[in-house]
Amino acid sequence: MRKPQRSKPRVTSDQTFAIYLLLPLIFFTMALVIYPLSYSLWLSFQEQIWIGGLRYVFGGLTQYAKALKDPLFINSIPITFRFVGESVTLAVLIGLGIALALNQPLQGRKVIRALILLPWAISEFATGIIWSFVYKRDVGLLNAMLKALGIIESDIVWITPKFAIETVSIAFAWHMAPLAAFFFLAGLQFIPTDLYRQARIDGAGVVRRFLSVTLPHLKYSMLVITILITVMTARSLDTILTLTGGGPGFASSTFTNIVYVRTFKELQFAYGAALSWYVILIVVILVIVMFMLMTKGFARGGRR
Amino acid sequence: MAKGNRALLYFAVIIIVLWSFMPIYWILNLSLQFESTIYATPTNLAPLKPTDYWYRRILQLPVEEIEMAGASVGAMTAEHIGRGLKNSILVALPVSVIATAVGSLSGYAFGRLKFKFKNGWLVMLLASQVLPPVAVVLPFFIFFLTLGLLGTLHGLMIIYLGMLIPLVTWVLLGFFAGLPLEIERAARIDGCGRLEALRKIVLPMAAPGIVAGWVLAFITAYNEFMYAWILTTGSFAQTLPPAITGLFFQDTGVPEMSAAVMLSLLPVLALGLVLQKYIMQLRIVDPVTVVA
Repeated sequence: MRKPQRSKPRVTSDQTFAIYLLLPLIFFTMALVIYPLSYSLWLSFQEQIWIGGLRYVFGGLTQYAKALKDPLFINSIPITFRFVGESVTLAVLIGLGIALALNQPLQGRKVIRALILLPWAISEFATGIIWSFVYKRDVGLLNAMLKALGIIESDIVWITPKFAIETVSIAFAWHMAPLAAFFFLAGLQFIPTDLYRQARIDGAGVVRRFLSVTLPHLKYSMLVITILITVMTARSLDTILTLTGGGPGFASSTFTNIVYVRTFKELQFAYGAALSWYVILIVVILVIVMFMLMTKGFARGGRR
Repeated sequence: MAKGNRALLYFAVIIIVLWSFMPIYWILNLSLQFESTIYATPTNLAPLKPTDYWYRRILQLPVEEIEMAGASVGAMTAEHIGRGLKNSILVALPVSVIATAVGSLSGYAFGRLKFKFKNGWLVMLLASQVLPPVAVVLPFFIFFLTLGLLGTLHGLMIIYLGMLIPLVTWVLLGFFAGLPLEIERAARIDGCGRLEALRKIVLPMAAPGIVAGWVLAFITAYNEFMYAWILTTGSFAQTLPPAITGLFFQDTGVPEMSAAVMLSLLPVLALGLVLQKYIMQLRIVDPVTVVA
């Protein structure tokens, strides 16, 4: 067989050019992913001894077995799922609300749009600190507002063992909702206005138009943003650390907080590494499952 | 739109604005008062006599002599915030610039070129963003301890580069994929080399996206908490996030703490406004389309 002759010799193929361009990325990603992962994998199979300084001896799966019997870690898993479930739902719903409202013709819409992004630019740890001033019993915004409105008479303690995780979820949703809003606003741009006109001619009310025109078109944005916020929530720790410190007791300790406590407060490095691996595994499985759901939804629903 | 709907819309917008800003307004309110008025009953919803005392103290500006009891701010707050702010900018600025330069190149590669294992690389890229910092910081702690990088800005910068380059790549690849192909192709036919076409044609077209990528990278580096907390706390390289959190955990007075937080927010709030101007063009939704 004769190879087809190229009209012009190509200087650099896509393949080689891409590799040149990607070299720095590959190097840094490797350094930040491969190194810590392989080190903590090694560490998780060790046992640490504090005789004559810190030493490690091979311990096999003891640390992993220990984790399964660690009540704090086992408890932290449902707490994490509660935290993730609540903040993702809240952030997505609030974000959707913001997007729908700001998609309407409105005076000063551009300014408002610019401003509502700001909670997202604030870091997770600062979100925790800011919201601690919202919940504070004596100088907190919430008690001050409710008292001014005459709804309550004496101060309420908001961060209680029962609802500590809810207080964090609300704070985290505050931080994440703007991101969701921008995804939805982007998605709304792709809906042809003809569809609304058509629906109105057919006599569809606001709710009906929302359900059968807007929502189906936002399916794709919804999937992407849900996955993104799920991952960001599952891996987060900063907000919990500054807002509740995982407490009261361990009431709002997600698994990342238990890793933090075991590794850096109790200095159980090898054990912390094993816990990290459980956390990484759970997060990665979560991502893969959601990713599969998303690509499936994408293949079926399409985008525009 | 019907009149009733219009009213409902304005009502919704007011609620949204309140929800987004009340928490920030509240620390502003607290930061402009003295402790004596903060604990008053009923709580002051706005400062009656706003004072910039706490800001002046933290910024080490001269303050008027006041006879307020308990209105003393630890010199520690001023020192920590001052040094933290300087360190944060010393880290975030170079790191975000380098990450944007490198990330633009790889973003272009992912968005425009066909190569082997592209999806595999993309998954790797995604994976590097998924790992919880608290779960990977320990190896760096040990590594830095042996190399003497613990408590230095350089150590932190290396980690931030590794964190930001994939982020910028991810954010920009959709943007590059969306640029019109024809102009680049025409330049190539006219005898432009690949690198030349990239430099002269594609990068200028991509400028808005690249600016947005830089702002995002800067904000992310400036805001980063966990690595800085573990690797720089208590050292001279302590950045702003651990400095503020440290003060917060030491039960610093309410108005003083609020002023410190407000000050630390100013740069990101300003950059956040810049970012939103470009964020719609970023098409951050698109990377998933490239993979799927």
